[in-house]
Amino acid sequence: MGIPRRESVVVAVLAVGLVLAFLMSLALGAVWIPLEEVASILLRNGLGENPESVVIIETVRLPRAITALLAGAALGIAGLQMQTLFRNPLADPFALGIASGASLGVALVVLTSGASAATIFGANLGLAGDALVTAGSIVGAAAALSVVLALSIRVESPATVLIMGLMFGYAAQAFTTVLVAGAEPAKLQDWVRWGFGSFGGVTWQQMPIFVPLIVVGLAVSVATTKQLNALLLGENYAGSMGLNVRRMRVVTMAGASILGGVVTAFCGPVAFLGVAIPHMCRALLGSSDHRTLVPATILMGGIVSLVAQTISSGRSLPLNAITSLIGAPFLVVVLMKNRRGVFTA
Amino acid sequence: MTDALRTLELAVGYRGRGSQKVILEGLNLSVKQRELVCLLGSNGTGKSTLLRTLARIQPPIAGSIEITGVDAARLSRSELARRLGIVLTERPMVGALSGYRLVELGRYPHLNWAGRLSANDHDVVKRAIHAVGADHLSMRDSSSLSDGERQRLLIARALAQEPAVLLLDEPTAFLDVPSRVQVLGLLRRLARDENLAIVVSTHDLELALRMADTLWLVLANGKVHTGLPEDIILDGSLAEAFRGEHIRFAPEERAFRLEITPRGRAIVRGSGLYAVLAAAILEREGYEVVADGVCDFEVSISRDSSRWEIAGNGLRHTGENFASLAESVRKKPNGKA
Repeated sequence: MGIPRRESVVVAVLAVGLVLAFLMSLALGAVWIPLEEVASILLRNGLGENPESVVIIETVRLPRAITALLAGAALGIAGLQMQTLFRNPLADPFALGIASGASLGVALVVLTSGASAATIFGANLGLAGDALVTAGSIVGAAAALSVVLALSIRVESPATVLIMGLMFGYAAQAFTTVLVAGAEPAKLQDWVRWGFGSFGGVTWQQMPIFVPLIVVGLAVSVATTKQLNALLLGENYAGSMGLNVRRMRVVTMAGASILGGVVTAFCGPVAFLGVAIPHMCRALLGSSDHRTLVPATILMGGIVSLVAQTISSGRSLPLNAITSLIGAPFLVVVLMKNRRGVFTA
Repeated sequence: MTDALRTLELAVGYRGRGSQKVILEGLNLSVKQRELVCLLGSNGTGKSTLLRTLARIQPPIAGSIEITGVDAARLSRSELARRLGIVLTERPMVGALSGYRLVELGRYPHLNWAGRLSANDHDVVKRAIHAVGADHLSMRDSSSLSDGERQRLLIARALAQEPAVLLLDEPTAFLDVPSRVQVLGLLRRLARDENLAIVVSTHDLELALRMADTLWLVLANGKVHTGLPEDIILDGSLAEAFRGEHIRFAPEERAFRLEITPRGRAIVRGSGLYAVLAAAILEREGYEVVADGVCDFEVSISRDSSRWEIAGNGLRHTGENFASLAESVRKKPNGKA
């Protein structure tokens, strides 16, 4: 008995779907660029492409599509890791307060006056504007992660770790609220825009940071499918089967938090994908086995965020509105049709 | 032959910051292959703590544990997992996982990092499922199973680890009566057929007395008394360990009985199942059933039906079924009209 046929078929279909979604996101937008032209630009065969199309694809749509693909995969995987680790269907990449930490970092950069510590820190590194926002977010996320990791090593029960993460998140949010309350209206606008989420902000210059971090985070999940499966029965059973539960907890939390933190830093707090993608995949596969669930989640995360990105840029709507408005009803339908496929904690 | 599991002056309990609470100590226990041990004791006496310590889920306070002749503290996690399997009281629900995949998880300590199962691994899984009589459950979703069915698969999952020792913490709790008997019967068969040393904690005293090769009886003084079930019945320690108000261990019945002051004495004449059941009715109504001697009344039961006749104090009653017998005994205390 190897991998059941249904699961292989689902993964294969998702792989094809991802390629299609990627090409569509390059073709669609304010200007329609025919697929043949997209393909020829990607392959650089220089056969009569419209120079304008080349610019649009190379400077706008391609980095945006790569970002969307990786961010969706990252959020899906981080959500899956958290759900399995905490045996909680509602867990998401930000359950440990990572997004709240990132938000606080960004709020410090965006909302406080020019003389703030963060700005000075950023200026010393030669950072300005968007790059400074990204840096603030990374620092905030990293601070949140280290606090929660340090606490989690001392704590026996996973549920306690989850609650501590939530509390940490609320505390960070409280600070952010204080900053928002005292901010100038012009700066508030920047803040609100960051909150919409966007895959369009990652430039080619930032790719060498964004891509490797996400790839490493995804690799952690691929390398630990066996351990994630052992955790399906809870930490006690996993430990009895030979898993080093504490170490796995730290590796998984760190991996998931880096994925969630990096995406938040570069794309803003992208809602919904992290909690929803793993559920969609479980329902489609009819299985909680991470050997197929991990690849399916990577592919599905890429597809959903590429589609959301394409719709959002076509209509100039905030990304977060699209992911939740379109994704939530879709997830409800999937779950209703497939009651058995739901992860039961 | 070395024991599959042995403890040397083991003390179990909890260690806090600078303080420790010893629950059981001075334990020198051993289990051989093919032996089924039932661990008995009242609630809160430390059965789970002992099992968790034997499984290395929590560290011992003192002493050591040997598994297949090796000090458990020196075994790596996966070496331990290849020698010892557990079934815990928690019965996790996992949605969207077939029975087969659930059992497959037990191969964890035998797999390389990629987690790919070889043909041999699949054979072990299939044999484990077959051994617990769960072939029909392998394609079912594990979240749709009954408690008894899930328990079977969790036992199969532990078997898939190919352990020498199997520890089970109250595997019969929450199960209906037939499933309880089946699970303990299954464990007994597994001990014999799969060459396993099995320790199972349970509250099913009567079942344990019938099925166990050895009892470990947790006493109130923090010691564990071990022996053949019949020897433990004879030495009175069982009655001691489960002493409670108004109950008494009746050795000849291998069961607990309510202790009440009898309303009177009665003799049941007759033999066979009908006579045994008639005596049960009298006992429930508060009469001491004696073989002969002075009594308040005699009940005669026919050999092949529940027809009865009460004779005593010069009175005679007859009836055709047990319901009327019970009513008659209840209505006429001490046989007087």
